[in-house]
Amino acid sequence: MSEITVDPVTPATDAIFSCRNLAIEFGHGAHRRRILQDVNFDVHQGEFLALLGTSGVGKTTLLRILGGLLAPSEGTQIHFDGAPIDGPPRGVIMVFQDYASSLLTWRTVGRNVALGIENSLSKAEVAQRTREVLDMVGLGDRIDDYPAQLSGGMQQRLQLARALAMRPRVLLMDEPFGALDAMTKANLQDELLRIQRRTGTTVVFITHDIEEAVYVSSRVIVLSGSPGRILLERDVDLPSPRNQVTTKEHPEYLRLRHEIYDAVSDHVNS
Amino acid sequence: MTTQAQRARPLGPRLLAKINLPGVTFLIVLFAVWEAADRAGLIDLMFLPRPSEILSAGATLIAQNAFLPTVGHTVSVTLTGWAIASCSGLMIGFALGMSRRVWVYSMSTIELFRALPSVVLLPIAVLVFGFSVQMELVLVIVSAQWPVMVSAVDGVRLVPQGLRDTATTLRLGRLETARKIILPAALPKVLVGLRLSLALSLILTVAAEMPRRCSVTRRAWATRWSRPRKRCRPTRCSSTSSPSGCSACCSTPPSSSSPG
Ligand SMILES: Nc1ncnc2c1ncn2[C@@H]1O[C@H](COP(=O)(O)OP(=O)(O)OP(=O)(O)O)[C@@H](O)[C@H]1O
Ligand SMILES: [Mg+2]
Repeated sequence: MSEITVDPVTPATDAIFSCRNLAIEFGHGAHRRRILQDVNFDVHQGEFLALLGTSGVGKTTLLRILGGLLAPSEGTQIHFDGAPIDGPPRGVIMVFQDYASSLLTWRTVGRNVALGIENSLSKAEVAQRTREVLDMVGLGDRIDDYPAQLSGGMQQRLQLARALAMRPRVLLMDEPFGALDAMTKANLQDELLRIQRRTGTTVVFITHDIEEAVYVSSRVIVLSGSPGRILLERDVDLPSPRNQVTTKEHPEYLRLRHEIYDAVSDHVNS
Repeated sequence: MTTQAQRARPLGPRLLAKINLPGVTFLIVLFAVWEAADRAGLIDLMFLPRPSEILSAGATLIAQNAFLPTVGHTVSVTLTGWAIASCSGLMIGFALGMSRRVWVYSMSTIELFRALPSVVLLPIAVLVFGFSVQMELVLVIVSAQWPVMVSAVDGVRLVPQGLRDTATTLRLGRLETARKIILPAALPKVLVGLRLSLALSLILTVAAEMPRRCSVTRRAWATRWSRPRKRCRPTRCSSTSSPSGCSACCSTPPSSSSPG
């Protein structure tokens, strides 16, 4: 049941990212294992793409390839803005799954946000942009605190603010809300959607939660198998702005949730 | 003068607040118990003077102006050696931690020389430099740079992957990454190394000074043994089955007045 809707050879012209024949292996000799194979997809300007898959299928690996942190195998054609990816593409920022280890514990909240911009902007601009993005994620009053003084959800919002300060074209988010409780998670989903609408940023969002994927995204790609391939790809036509109650009662939401659930469990059982 | 005093005033309470009072009290009580037990005859430490005797002997040495200059020498050699060892250790350590290739080539050499006990270098250093300040410094520097170097290598190599990825995705340059991410993240480990090597510097300075400065040691012995002591009771000697240990105590040091 493979439904690949993109042409496997030519990159789409309007795509920010274009992946063709993406494959990657880890390990050496007898331990060499193929993690991803035949992954073909595009990321379009302004969309909110959710990458869904079970633990260990290779979601983080795929995102690290997009972010230029990991080189894929020979034969992979992966382009950003029409140019092959070689190192982190300009304007693409990752938000990591493990927020605790990606914050600088010895810098205050404000100085963490400034990390990526303090070299290229003037002091006043840095201060102004820091305040702006911290307000955006609701941490405006915590600018002088240290990351250890923040809760888990706040630390993840700080990581998001640090990424936003770079004014990214694309945000690559690796299970950003995976470690948070349901209520915090729901709040942050809405906050992220609001910020995305306001800034027009393209988002690639990893999750292993089907409901989260359908709720936040405008398109869902499901990865499955070993090596991981694209199992399913669906547009999400739900009214915007989303709402934690009404959206989740919407017939289309329920239908998509059902369809993806069936596809994943069929594939796992077969 | 008054302005200085005014400026110093807020510092006083702050320093006082830092003193670990229970810990200091415990130490003083420990010495008091030792003194009292010795005076009461509950314990009999043959070769060890009482705390009060140590204090008065120390006061005599200071009065004779024999103590402070040698302490000054020891402290200055320790600190100079430590500072130089820290600088070279840090630089080599960071280079080793940041470049995988440099590390692969030099690891075996480092592990080999690091395993040598520092004190065995003493005779070699004496042969090359004689009894000189250079000898003391070289010994301190060569030995005290290992903890700093190794902790710097560890600190750099154990920087969490999340921080390295952060630097990459925020497009920090190599130098910026080193300065803003790697060095601060490695700092706690480096500080442990610096502390270890300070202690080592002191030990090695004293070891290197021993042969040259033993006149001081001899004078200290003389001060301590010049007074008649109740300690060496002949009765005790005769009662023990093997009198060798006691005879050493009773005959040699107290009877010889001043060997130095
Ligand atoms: N550096 C590596 N060396 C060897 N194997 C790796 C490495 N990184 C990932 N893998 C393997 O690749 C597979 C996919 O890992 P990945 O982290 O991409 O999974 P994931 O889909 O993000 O899972 P999760 O939802 O648990 O985060 C796993 O089997 C993992 O063991
Ligand atoms: Mg992952």
